[in-house]
Amino acid sequence: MPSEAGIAQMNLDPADIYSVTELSQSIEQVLSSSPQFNDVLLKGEISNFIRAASGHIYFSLKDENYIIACAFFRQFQSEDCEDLGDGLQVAAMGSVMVYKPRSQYQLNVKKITPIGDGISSLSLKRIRDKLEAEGLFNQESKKPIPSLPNKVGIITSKDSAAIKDILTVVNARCPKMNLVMAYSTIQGDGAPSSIVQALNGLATMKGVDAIILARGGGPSEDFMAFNDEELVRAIASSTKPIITGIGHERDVCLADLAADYRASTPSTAARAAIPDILELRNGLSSLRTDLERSYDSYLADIEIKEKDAEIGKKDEEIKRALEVGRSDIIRHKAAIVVLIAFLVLIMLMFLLRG
Amino acid sequence: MNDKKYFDNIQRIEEIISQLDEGRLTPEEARESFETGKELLEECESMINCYSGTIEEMNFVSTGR
Repeated sequence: MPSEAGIAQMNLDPADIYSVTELSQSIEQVLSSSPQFNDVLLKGEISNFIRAASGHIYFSLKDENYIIACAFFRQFQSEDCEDLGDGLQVAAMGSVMVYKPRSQYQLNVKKITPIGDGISSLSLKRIRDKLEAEGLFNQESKKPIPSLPNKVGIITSKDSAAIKDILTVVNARCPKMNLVMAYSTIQGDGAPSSIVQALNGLATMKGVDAIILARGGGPSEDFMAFNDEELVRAIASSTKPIITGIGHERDVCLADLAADYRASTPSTAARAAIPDILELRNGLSSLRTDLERSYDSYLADIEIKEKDAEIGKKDEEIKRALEVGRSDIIRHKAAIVVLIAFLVLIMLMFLLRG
Repeated sequence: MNDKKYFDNIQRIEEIISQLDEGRLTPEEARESFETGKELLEECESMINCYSGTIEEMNFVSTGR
C-alpha cells in the first residue's frame, strides 16, 4: 500500500482516492437509483439452488454465457415455490442490489414463474436418457470394489481440497498404501478429455486395482465436466473399478451414475477404496485367538477322553480279576465238596467193615 | 489384488475352527489342520503388510487452459 508520501510522488490527490467502503457505496447507490435495475424481468435457468434454514432461497440464474446470483427472501415466497429447483427455466422479477459484505450484486427476487426446463437441464436429460437406454448405468455391470487393492489410482487436481481429504483418509486407514496420483484438469472445457486421458493412463498401469475420481464441492456449473458424454462412456467401459467422489451429497452427475461406486464426497470415496489395516489386523488377531482356543479345547477334550478310556480299562481289569477270583472260589468249593464226599465215603466203608 | 486369496484363507481358517470345535478329527488331523490354519493366518498377515507407501505421479492437466 503506498504511503502518503508515495501517493504524493504519484502526483495523486489523496482526496481522489476511494476507500473500499466508499467505492462499494457508490456502486450500490448507482444500482439502487437506476430505474433500469429496479423491477427487472429476468429469464434464466436455476442452478446452485439452496433453501436455507431461515426459509430464504438462494440460487443463480444462468444462460449460455453468464450467471447472476439471486436471493428470494421468505416474505416474497408463495406456496408454488416448493417446486423450484436446479435446471428449471424461470422468469424472475426483482431488483438488482448489492450484497454489502462482499460488494457483490445480486437480484433480489420478488416474484418468480417457472416456464419449463432449462437448456442445460434439457441437454443433460437427453444425454442421460440416451446413455441409460444403452445400459451404461446398469447395476448388473458394476464391478466390485476390491478390499485389498495393490495400488489405488487417484484422479483429481493437484493441490485441491479433495486430494488433501483423500490423503487424510489414507493416513488414517493405510498409511503405506501404494498410490498413483493422476493430476488432471477437473473443471472447464479441457476437463473431460484430461480426465479421460488419466483414466486410460491408469487403466494400463500394472497393479492399479481401483480408481478414485474426485473433486471438491462448488457451484453446480463446476461439475459440468462430469456430465460429459465422452467421459461418462470412458467410466462405464473402464476395465478397472471406478469410485466417484464429486462435490457433496446433493451433487449427482452422470459420471456418478456410470461409476462402479458413487461416494458422496472425496473422503467417502477414499474410505471405499482404501482398506482399514487396523481393522483387518484386529480381525486376523481375533481369528488367531479363536484358532488357538479351539485347538487347545480339542486337546483338552482328547486328554479327558484318554483318561476316561484308561479308567475304563482299569475297571475292566478289576472286573476280570474278580470274575477269575469268583470262578476259582467255585472251583475250590467244588473240590472241597468232592473231598468231603470222598471222606464220607471212606468213613462209610470203614464203618461197614468194622 | 489379493482379495480372493485373502478371503479364501479366512474362510478356510473358519472351517478349521469349526472342525476343531466339533471334535471329530483324529489327533493327527487336528494337529495338521491347526498348523495349516496358522500358515494361512501368516499369509493373510503378509498380504496386509505388503504395502510400501509408494506414490507415483502422472500429469494429465490440460494445456489448453
